[in-house]
Amino acid sequence: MKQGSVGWNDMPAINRDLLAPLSPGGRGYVLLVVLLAAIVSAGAGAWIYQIETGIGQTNLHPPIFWSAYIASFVYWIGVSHSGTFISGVLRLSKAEWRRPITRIAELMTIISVVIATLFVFYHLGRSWRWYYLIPYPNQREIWPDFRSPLMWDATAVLTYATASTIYLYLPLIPDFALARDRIGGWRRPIYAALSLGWQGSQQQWQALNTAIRIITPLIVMVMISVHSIVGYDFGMSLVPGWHTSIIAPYFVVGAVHSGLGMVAIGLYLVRRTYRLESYIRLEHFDKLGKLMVAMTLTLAYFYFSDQLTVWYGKVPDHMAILHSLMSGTFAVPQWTMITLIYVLPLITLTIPAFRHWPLGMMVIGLCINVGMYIERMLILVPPLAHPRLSYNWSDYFPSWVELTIMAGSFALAVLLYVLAVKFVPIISIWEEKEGHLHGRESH
Amino acid sequence: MVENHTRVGLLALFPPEADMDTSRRRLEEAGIRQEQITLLSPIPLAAPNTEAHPPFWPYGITIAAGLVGIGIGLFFSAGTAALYPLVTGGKPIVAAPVVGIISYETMMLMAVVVTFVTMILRIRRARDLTVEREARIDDGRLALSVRDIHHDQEATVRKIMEQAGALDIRSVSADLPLLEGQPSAHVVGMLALCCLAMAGCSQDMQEQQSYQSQEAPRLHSPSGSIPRDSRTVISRETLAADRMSDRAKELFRINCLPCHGESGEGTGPVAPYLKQLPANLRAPRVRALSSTEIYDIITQGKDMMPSFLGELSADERMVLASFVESMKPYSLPSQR
Ligand code: HEC
Repeated sequence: MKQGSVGWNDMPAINRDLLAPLSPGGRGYVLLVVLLAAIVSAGAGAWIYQIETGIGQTNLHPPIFWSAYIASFVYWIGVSHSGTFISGVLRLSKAEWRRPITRIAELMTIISVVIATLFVFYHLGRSWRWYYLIPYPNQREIWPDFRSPLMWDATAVLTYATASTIYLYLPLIPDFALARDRIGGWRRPIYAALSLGWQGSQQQWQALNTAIRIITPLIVMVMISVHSIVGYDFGMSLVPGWHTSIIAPYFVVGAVHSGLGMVAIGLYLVRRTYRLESYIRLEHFDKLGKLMVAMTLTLAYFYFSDQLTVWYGKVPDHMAILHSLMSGTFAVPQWTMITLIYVLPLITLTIPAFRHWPLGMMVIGLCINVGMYIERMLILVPPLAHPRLSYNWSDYFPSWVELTIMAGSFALAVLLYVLAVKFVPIISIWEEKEGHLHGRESH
Repeated sequence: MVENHTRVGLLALFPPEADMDTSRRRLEEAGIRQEQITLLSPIPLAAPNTEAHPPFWPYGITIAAGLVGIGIGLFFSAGTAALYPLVTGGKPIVAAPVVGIISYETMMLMAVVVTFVTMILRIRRARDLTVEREARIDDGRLALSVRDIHHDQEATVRKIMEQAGALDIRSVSADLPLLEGQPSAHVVGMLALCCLAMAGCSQDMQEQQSYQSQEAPRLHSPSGSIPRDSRTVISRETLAADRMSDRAKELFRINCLPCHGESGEGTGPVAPYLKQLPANLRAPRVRALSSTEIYDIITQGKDMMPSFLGELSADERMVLASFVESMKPYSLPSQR
C-alpha cells in the first residue's frame, strides 16, 4: 500500500470548500427562493383551475390531442439523461474528469424525473384517477392494458426514478457521514439517519464500491431503455412523422444532447455562485464541450437520415408534414430549432478557445435546451396537425393555462435544485479526494 | 456480558503515510484476530478495480434479483391476461414484444433495488458498534480500531500502535450505545405492509353507502324527493321537460351508452368484455325503480357499474335518472 502524504494534505481544504455551499444562504438566496416559489404557486393555481374547470382549458382539440404537456414530459425526461449519462457512462469508462461533475448532474436527473412525472398528471383529464395505472386486483375488475406504450412508459419511468435515486444516494453516503460530523442544527439527525452509520471501514468501502460497480452499467441500460420507450409512445403509432424506426435512438441522443446542455448551465452557475473555480476547472468545460460536439453530430446525422428518407419517399401524407416544417406553418420554429441545436453548437464548440470559456458554454447549453424544447413540440404537433384526411388539418398554440403550468414547473425544477444545493454536497467530496490522490500519485 | 469490563478497545489515529500493513501483521503476531481490527479511512484505500478476484456473490444476488424481476414482469404483462381475459379483434392478447419490454424494466428494477438493499445491509453489518466514528479521518488521517482485547494485551497493542507512528490513542469502552437517529426497520416494514393492504381496497370506499355505529340504517330516499346537495332547485316540471332533451340524450350517450347501449337494453359496445352484463334498462325490474332509486344507483354505482359521484353533478345525475325512468315503454308520471 503505497501512500504519500501528497493529496492527503489537501483534504481539510477540500472539506472546507465543498461543505461551504451547505451553509445558510444570504439575502439573494432567500429572494431567489421567494421569487421561484411565487412562480410555482402561479403554476399550481393554473393546475387547480384546470382541474376545477376541466381539461378544456388547454388548447387541445381534435386532431391535436397531445401537445405542450406531453412535449414537456418528453423534454424533462430528456434532461434527466444528464446525470445518468455523465456519471454512468463516464464512470464506466473511468474518465477522471467526471469527478466534480457527477453529483451536479445526478441531482438534475432526480429533479427532472419528478417534473416529468408531474406533466403526466397535468395531462390526465381526471388526475384523481391516476391509480388506474397501477395493476392491482380491484373492484373495477379492470386491468391496465400492458400492450399500450403508455403502460411501458409508466413502468420504465418508475424503474428509472427508483434506480436514479439509488444511484444518487449511493455515493452520497460517505458525504452524509462527513456532513453529520461537521454540520450541526436540525440537519444533523437527518444526515445521521441517511449516512446509515457510516464509519469508513474498509469493509464498508468495499461494499459501497461493489454496489456502485454493479449498479452503474445497469443504470446506463435503464437510461437508454427509458427514452427509447418514450420514443415508442410515438413510433408505435401509425401517424406519419412518428412511425419511424429511428425514433428510439433519435430520442435517446436528443435527450443526452439537452442533458449535456443542462449540465453546462449547472456547472457554470454552481461554479460561479460558490467560487469553485479550483474544482470545476476549464478542463472540465473543454471535455464537456467535446462530448457536446459528438452528440450534436450524432443527432444531426439521425435527423438527416430520417428526413432524407421521408423526402425521397415522397409519400404525400409524410410530405405534408415535411413541407409544413420546412416552409409552411411551422417553418419559423423549425429553423430556429435547427439553428439553436445544430448550427450554433457546431460553430462554437469546435473552437478550442470557446470550450474554455465557461460563460459561452453556459449560453450554448441554454440555446440547446431552448432548441430541444421547441424540437419536442415540433415532433408532436405538426404530425398531429396533419392527419391523413386533410379536411381535418388544424393548428395549435398553448393556452395561458398550459403556459403558466409549464412556467411553474420550470420554476419548481429550479427551486428544488436551489434547495437541494443547501442540503447535499454539490460535489462528491470523497470522490474528489480520491481524484486528488490518484491524480497526483499516478503521474 | 459479564466480561465486558475486562475487555477494552483502542482507537488510534495515524498520519496517511503510516504503514498499516506492517502494524496489522504485528498485531496479528501479538495474538489479535483479524476481525478485531478495523481500518477506517476517508477514501477507499484499495484503488477501485485492483482486486485480483472480486467475489462473485454480489453479482449472484443481482442476477438472481433480475431473474425474479423477469418473473414479476411476466406475471404482470402475460399472467394477468389470463386472469382478466380480454378478447380484442381476434388477436392474441399477450404480445411477446410487450412482455419483453415490461420484463426488461422489472428485471432492472429488481436488480438495482435488491443490490442496493444488500449493500445497505452490508454497510450496517460492517459497522463497528464499539467505535464511534472518528471524524478526524476526513481531514486526511487513518484510524485503526482494535476492539475486544484483554487487559493484559492492551499494553502490547498500545506499543505497536505507537511504534507505527500513532498521533493519538484513546481507549473506548466495549458497550457504547448504538448511534442515534436510526429509523427502525420494523416501523418501515409495517408502513409498507399497510400501504400494500390499502392498495388492495377500493379507493371509492368512502363514497359508498355506509352508516356509522349507532346510526339507524339509511333507507332509500322517499320517491319524489329532490336531492339536497344540488345547488339549483329542480322542480318536477323542469325535469319532465328535460327528460327527453338533447342534454339528457348527450349525457346518456357519453356516460351510459358504452355499457347499456343506445336503446338501454344492455348491449353496449363494451358489454361483451364485462364480467357482469349491464342491466337491461327496459326490463321490468328496472321499470319498477323510481327515479330516486335510479339516482341512487347512478350516484353509488352497483357491482360492476361504477359510481358517477365524482364524474357528474347532482343535476346531471338527476336528469339522467329521469331520462332512464322515461325509457319505460309506458311512461307514467312516477308512482304515487
Ligand atoms: C361499466 C359499465 C356501465 C356503465 C358505464 C353504466 N352502467 Fe349501469 N349497469 C352496469 C351493470 C353491469 C349493471 C348491473 C348491475 C347489477 O345488476 O348488479 C348496471 C345496472 C344499472 C341499472 C339497474 C340497476 C338494477 O338495480 O338493476 C341502472 C338503472 C343503470 N345501470 C343505469 C345507468 C346509467 C344511468 C348509467 C349512465 C350514467 C350507467 N348505468 C352506466 C354497467 C354500467
